[in-house]
Amino acid sequence: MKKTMIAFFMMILLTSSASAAEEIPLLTSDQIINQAKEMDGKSIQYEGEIIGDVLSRGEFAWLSITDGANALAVYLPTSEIPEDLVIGRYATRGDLVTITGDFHRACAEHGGDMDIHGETLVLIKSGFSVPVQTSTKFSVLTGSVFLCALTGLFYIKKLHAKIL
Amino acid sequence: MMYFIGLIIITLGLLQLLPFLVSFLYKEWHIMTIFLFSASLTVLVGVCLVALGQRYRTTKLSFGEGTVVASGAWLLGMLLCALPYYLSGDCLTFLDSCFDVMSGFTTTGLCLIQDLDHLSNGMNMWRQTLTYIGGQGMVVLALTFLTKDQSNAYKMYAGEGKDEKLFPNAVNTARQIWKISLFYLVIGTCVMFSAGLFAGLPLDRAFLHGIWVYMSAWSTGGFAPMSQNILYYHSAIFEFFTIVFFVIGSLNFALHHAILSGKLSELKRNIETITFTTSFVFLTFITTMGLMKSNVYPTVLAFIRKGVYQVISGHTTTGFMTIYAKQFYTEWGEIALFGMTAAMLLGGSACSTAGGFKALRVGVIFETFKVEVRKLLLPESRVVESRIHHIKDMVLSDPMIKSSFLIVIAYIFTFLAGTLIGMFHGYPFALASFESASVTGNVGLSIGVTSASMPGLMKVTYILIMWLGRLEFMSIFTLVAFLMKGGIKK
Repeated sequence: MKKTMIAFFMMILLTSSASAAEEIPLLTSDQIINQAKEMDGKSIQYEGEIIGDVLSRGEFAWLSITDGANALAVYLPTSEIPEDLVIGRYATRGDLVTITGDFHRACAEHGGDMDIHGETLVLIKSGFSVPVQTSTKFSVLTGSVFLCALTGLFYIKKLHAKIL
Repeated sequence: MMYFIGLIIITLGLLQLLPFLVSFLYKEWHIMTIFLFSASLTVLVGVCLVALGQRYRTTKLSFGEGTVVASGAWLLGMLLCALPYYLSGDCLTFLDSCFDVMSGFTTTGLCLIQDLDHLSNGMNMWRQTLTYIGGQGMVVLALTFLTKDQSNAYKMYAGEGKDEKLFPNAVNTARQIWKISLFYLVIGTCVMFSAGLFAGLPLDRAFLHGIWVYMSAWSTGGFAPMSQNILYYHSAIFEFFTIVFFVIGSLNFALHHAILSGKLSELKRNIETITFTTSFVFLTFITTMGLMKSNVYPTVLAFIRKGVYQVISGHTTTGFMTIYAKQFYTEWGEIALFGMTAAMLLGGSACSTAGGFKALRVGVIFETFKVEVRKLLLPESRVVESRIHHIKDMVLSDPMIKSSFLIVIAYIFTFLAGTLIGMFHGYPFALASFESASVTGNVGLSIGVTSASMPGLMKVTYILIMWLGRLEFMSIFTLVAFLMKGGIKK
């Protein structure tokens, strides 16, 4: 009985350590760049906001994903990219996603680019618009300064025909 | 002087209508209002200065006063042009905003902007406009459009670190500089737009990125619309065309004028092109040795797109990058960093958009050493005369040698001061010297030191160094002396 119990616990221990070894680490961009040599060729997970553009390359595409510190390049099959993707730009926050793939510190296939060859893209949170508003006070102030500047320009123009 | 500074400030105000227009087209209403406010305020300040100084507008300026106009306009221009960055909240503090404006004006390309990847199109247009105007020179712009005053023009023109005369008078020279720049602007935008489409950008984004990257490349600026800089495009063709334009931009305007006038042989004979090519080959060799030792890049293509690209970007003082800043110190190794630091300090051509020592001065100093060695080998009675070719054949004169040595020594001291300040703030020598060389040479490549969290004193020091490096010292020394003498009344 005792031997069976030990064997059972040993099996649980071995299984859990094997799954821990297979677990893909979730890294930040700073960790990836700083430990590029150690992480080269390994599977990683990276989480961040999609920004910029989807740069299509046939059946694959480049995505830029930022975690706030750096934007990293992800090369992945277009089939993995959702059609209703929200890309982060001015006044828009892009989709927050997790990428799983192989990291290359100087990818031989892509001219030495530091990139992640993504296999899966998982949407964590959809992107959204960020409203940007101008205060009424500032608009009135702008209008007043604009009128003063315009008057000044006419005055200068009248003063010297050569200017403008 | 106030009158002329006012004219330059009015020009800077009117220029803000360009990002205003882009904001309008992209319905960025808040940014549009900010630009309208900032443009109006800048014009208003310019109008006041013109009105106050109009009594003296026919007064002949001395050379010293001409340089004070140039450096004074740069200083006041920096404060006024920083308003959009600050009001939009894209920069955390007004000091950061001033840093980014000076970085643009001096075509350095380092930036403290927060969240570049979410920056509005209007603000991106403003960054590139600042760089483009700074590269050509804002005094050159004002001379082209706002004045016909021949007598004072050259003194202000020279005060902006330019001394080549393409035509007998400075106003025509300034106009020719703008003609050359606008000619390349049309071609460059078309080429970079096509390269952008090829890289996968949608039509309107390809146009905007095309014009921005072109403006930055031609001005040897280094600002790019995305935080990944040129790496963002993942395109060898895009990278190739940026090299073409920043190399062209780093050439002397006098050389451009000669080539466009049909004197193609000038390219092969000119001391600047010879010096630049020689130093580029030598420094590429050193960097290659370093990179081979570090064993970073797996293929020849990777080595060219990362190693050689960074060297030529640094040597032309552009600052475009195809790697992450941190990779310089985590992967490149000290030998490659030495090659890069030297390339950034040597810089491009005189009277161009580039910074650094300048190839003409390096060539003159090298020729001087050659002459001195020859003198030692020949009998004392023999007169040794050396000639250099720069647009025309000229004798290597003592004033030319003296001025070359003076400016290069001033650059070296500035570089050392920048390095020391960095080290005082706790950065290791390799990092502090790399960043200092980048700032001194108005390059813009970063090893990761420049950031919004950098100490305030370092930001102020870097602003001063960028300004000194771009206007080549004398204008700023004259401004300081002038202010100390209390001469602002005039």
